[in-house]
Amino acid sequence: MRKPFFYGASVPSIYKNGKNEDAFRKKKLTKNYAVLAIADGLGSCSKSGLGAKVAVRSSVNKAEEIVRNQDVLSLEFIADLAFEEARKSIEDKAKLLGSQIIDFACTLILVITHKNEVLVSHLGDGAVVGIGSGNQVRLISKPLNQEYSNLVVDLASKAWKENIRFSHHKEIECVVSFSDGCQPNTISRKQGDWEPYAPFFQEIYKYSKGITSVRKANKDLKDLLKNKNKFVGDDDKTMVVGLL
Amino acid sequence: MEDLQSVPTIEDPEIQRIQVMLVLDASGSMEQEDKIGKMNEAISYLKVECLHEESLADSVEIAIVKFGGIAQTVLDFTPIKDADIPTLGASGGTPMAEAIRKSMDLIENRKEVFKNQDVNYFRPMFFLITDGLPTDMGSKSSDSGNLKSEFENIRNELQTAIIEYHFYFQPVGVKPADMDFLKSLCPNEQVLKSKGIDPIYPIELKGQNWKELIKFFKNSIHAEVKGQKQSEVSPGEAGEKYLG
Repeated sequence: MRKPFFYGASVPSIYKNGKNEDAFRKKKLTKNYAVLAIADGLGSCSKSGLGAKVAVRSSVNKAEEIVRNQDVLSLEFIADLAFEEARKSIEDKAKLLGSQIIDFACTLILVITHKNEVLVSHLGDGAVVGIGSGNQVRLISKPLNQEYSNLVVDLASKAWKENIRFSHHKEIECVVSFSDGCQPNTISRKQGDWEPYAPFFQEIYKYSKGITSVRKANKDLKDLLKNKNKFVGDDDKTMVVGLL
Repeated sequence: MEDLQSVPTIEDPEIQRIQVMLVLDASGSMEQEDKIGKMNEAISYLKVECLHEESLADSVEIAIVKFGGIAQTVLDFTPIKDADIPTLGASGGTPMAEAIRKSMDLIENRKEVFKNQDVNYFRPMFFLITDGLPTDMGSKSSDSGNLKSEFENIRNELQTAIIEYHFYFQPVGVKPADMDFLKSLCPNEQVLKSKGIDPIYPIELKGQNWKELIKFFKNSIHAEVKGQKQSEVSPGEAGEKYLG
């Protein structure tokens, strides 16, 4: 398979009757750029699933538009504008539907790549792991450490902009992004900080290098996320893997 | 690798915990109409309800502080599946202030244990059940020229803790409880709204609908774990919210 390529899957909580409040989108752009976005709608907000869909669609579309139309690009520049677009899109949706923006509250992880360079813009929970040369596994963007498990600053919050965390990494060969539903079985807390479970990510990387069909890879990943022996908990689960 | 089913994930991941603090009136008046007996049954039923709920069975830790004659911790925080729910007797006065203080200390102490053990947790739940007024209002003492009763200090501490999101507080009045008093324990609605917290109203137990009350407690705990709004959890047949 020609790099970069991405595969991903999202499965709803078994307790939500198929209603998935996570959303993701991934796209290869021109000039060796790629973008992926994962959003997780807040359970307490009535239209958060729609908010998540709108946020990922608008941010990826904006990234594509910038890359197509600009000559000199920095990953930060693309991420900044893409994130702004995501926020604007849920504001517009709220106005269109006569709702409050809070109804569309969601987290958002945006990953922009250029060859082996990765920029993560991250608001809320979920995480991003990078695998570099020598099979080294690094947590390149952590969940936000609020006191309580389900307390996040989301895209609808007034403080959204100042709470985005940025991290920029080079020499990344594989990037794995996921929503908080996947956290318990892939990352853990040790002495107050988060650590990735290296065996999981190393095997994902190994599998990714052998992919010949993205469609099959999407299905395999979906089957993995649905496996209750592998992924516990009753939250929606979304994961996207990129081989760079 | 043909698919991803053999990928290793973290087995037995650390479960996110939620503390449930029950502060229970065991004063002499609870003997009347066997309120104490019905309350004992109800608390045992809470264990059953939580164990039947997959998302709560492993998460809930329960503690009980009773106030009857003295304020006493009869059960420190214990996983609900292992908790030996004590049977309370009714006697003596109503040292509610001391019980509230003990309970707040227990909650904060348990949070420190969680932090030291890298355990993620949700906002704790604090349920108070009483049929009367406290008898430990304390004597007035002077403080820089202002007279404050000890109970007023406790009330202020309690309201500050609620406003600062230390725990969710739900008082319940059993006849002939003074509902205005219970309402006075809750922070001002406008102050809560300004902090993005739903207003809190005491529940007046309807008749002897203790089982319905426990269902309401369980639903409140479930809502907290799911990140849903407490204001959307209806007391149903348990009773009415007392608006004042």
